[in-house]
Amino acid sequence: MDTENCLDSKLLSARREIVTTDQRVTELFETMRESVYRYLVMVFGNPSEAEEITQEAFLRLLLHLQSGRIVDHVRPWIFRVAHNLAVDTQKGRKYESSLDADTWEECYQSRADPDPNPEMRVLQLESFKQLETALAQLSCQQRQCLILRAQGFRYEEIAKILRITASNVAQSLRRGLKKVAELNHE
Amino acid sequence: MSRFRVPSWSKENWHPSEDELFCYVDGELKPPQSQRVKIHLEACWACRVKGEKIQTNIASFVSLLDRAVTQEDDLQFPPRRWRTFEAKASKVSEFGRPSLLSQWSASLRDGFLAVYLPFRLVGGLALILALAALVLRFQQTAKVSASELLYKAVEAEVHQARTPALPVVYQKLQVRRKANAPLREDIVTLEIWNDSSSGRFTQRAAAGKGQQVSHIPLESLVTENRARGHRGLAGTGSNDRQSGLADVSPILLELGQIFRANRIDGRRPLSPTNYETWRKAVERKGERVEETDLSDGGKGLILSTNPTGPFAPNSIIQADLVVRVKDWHPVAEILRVQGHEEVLDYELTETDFDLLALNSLSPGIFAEITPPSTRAIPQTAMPQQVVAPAATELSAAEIMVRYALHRAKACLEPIEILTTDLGGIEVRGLAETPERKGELIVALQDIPLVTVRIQSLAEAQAMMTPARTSANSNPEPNASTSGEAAVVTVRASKLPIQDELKRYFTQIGSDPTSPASGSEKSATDLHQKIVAISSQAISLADAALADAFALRQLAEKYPAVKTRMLESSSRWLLEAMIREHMQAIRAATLRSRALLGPVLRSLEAGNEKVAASKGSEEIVPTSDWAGQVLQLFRTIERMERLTAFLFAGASLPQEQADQAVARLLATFNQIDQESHRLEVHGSRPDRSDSATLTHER
Repeated sequence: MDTENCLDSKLLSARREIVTTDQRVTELFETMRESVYRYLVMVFGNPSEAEEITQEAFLRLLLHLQSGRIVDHVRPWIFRVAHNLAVDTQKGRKYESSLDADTWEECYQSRADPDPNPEMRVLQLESFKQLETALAQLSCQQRQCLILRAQGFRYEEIAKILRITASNVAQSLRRGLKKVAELNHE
Repeated sequence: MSRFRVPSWSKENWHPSEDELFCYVDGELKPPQSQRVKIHLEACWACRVKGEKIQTNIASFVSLLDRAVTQEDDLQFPPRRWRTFEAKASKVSEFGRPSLLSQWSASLRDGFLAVYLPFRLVGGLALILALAALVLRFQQTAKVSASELLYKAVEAEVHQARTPALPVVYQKLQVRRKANAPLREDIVTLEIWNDSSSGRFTQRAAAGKGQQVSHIPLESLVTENRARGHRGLAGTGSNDRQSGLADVSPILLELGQIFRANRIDGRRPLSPTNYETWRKAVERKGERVEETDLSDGGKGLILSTNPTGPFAPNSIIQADLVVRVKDWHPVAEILRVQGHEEVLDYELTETDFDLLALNSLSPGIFAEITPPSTRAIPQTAMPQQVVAPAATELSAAEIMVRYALHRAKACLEPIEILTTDLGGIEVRGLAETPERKGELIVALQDIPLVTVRIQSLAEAQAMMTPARTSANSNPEPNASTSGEAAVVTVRASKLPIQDELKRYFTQIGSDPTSPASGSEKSATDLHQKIVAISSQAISLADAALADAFALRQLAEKYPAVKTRMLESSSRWLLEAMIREHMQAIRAATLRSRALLGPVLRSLEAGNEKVAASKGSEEIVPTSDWAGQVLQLFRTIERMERLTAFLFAGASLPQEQADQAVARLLATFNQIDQESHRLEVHGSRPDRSDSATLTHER
């Protein structure tokens, strides 16, 4: 996990130079925001909310550091906070949604320069529908574990983010992958 | 054949479970088991095929993900494209956490207008109407939260009070009392002079709108004359009572009682600081901020606070503070108060405000009501409590005093905080100059239950007998609180490491091409470098020691058990002080280490005797917070002594002097470890376990 070590060393220096904590967090935000945002959109849907939650997670990191506290591993920390915020937001709304075709279309439309090639778009839509169908078959936990594992997190880290055990993570991943493979074969 | 019936694999009739196999393939199985599975897979076809299938499943999922979500995909671009983060981050850095109201306002602005609107326009008229209603609602609502409004108003008030040339704040207020049954309205005009440089004040009142009767000096809003009983009036001249007292006193007396009952400082009836103090003391309340037009045509904001009942007589059931937006100056306040039989409204409207120089006032203006006994040490008047304050209120006030002194960088000035028999807090001590005294009085003046008795050095010397002047009035030698670089004079005599330092600076600054004639100049340069590094080293060590001492004082005053009994706001202030001292210690130590580390390591390498010695002190781990602070203080004290020995020629026992360089290097490491341990401890006295990541949410 070289990237993570690099992030942690950045954070370490952020802790020592109090004046520039917000600049360091802004740097971290620029480095990590896409992966956090992607996780939130793919697991919880709702792009605009995912953007808000991503920003909020980094603002909490800033406050956390400014209050003199320490973050040992920043990447899992950010994902855990973002995940918890997303769960709380969903609880507040009393319904659960995940990435669906409408959300994807919304993402697509929000691009500054949508791809003008209609063929490419059709192909991508096709692939996307496959992924959507596959993810829709999974339980929420399986979906979360798979996306986090695809982001490079180890089982222990996933377990901490989702507040489950590492053996639960292994089980969810195995079953999730099996379901996705079965759907692909059909 | 019988010898083939016992093949080696059948001795261990074991296969990894599906999860074990999965973990192995995914690289998550720990060494003993992974080795076992690896050996097993070499022998077992069935499990090997299963393992390959898992690998294929992973590959197909990754490929699916890649096809759908490419590197340049749409998911990288959120709707607003991260536009607002930097602004939010700088706002958080500048003001701390945004309030819920402002967050809500921001999300309403950003969320609805920037994101939903473009996509939901096609959704129908209903959404547009809802949006319009929300925008209309938003426009009606002020764009600041209650906290922000008060923060700005208090800041403006403090700024005003610190104008050195114009120290007297003059306020003229019209006080109206309205009652519903029977319907009546009484008016009193109140004039207040507050001298922020010395904490003196005076008030005068007149019935009606100020023209009917001559002014009457009053202090009814501040103290109650016990000799005259509960209904008494603390006027200074008996003639005053005959010239309109009956008209003037009832409203002010009632108001004085209300202020006392609600812990409001009567010296400044219309003050955002006062309002904030009262508001913070109310646990359950509703609040709103609304815009209003002021009588002069300007824009104003009304902050309304409604505590939740039940209400005892004299309790405030609603308080509205009207603030002028232009300069965040309070212009009116309406207090709705629960009377014995009815609800009364007291409206305080500012009709005049000015900042005055002392010489523009008549000399006797403050003398009229200041008791003679307090002349020598001017003090802020303290509301006489009808009921003794609770222990938590006293603790809260004491923490506020400590925090105010901390903010004024006076943690280590010779100032005592005492609890008086009357149930108040007395702050007593010495300030170096009259200006410093004024600063401290201003810092402490709005804290409830506090009497300030601070003298300047000149005043103290004038009052003391000659025998006491020098011995007791000097601050402690280590009382350097500001963290600014202290002026250190390196002794003329040789430093213990003078020769080593010369060699070091010669080596790092040696230039083979320089002419030999410059040797005198280079000797001066060397001396200057040694003086510079010594001065900086001593200053940094002193600064670290000052903060460590302040931290130790807090730890001794608030060990864990006592801290748990504090109110949350007090705990927050305490934590903030601890945090800031810790940050200052770490910053000073880091700078000191960066400055001296290369020099000391070079000296250590060149001196085998020193290098061989073991300088580190054994750390005896202690789990309690106060113990850890004490340990850190002792380590920093040792660092300061060693620095002073090496770089200022201070004396040190021989056994320590021999190993000073190595000991100092080891002490830096020890400070680092100990401060890290304290940080991990959460820098909170009431936290008994390690809490690095337990409060992310």
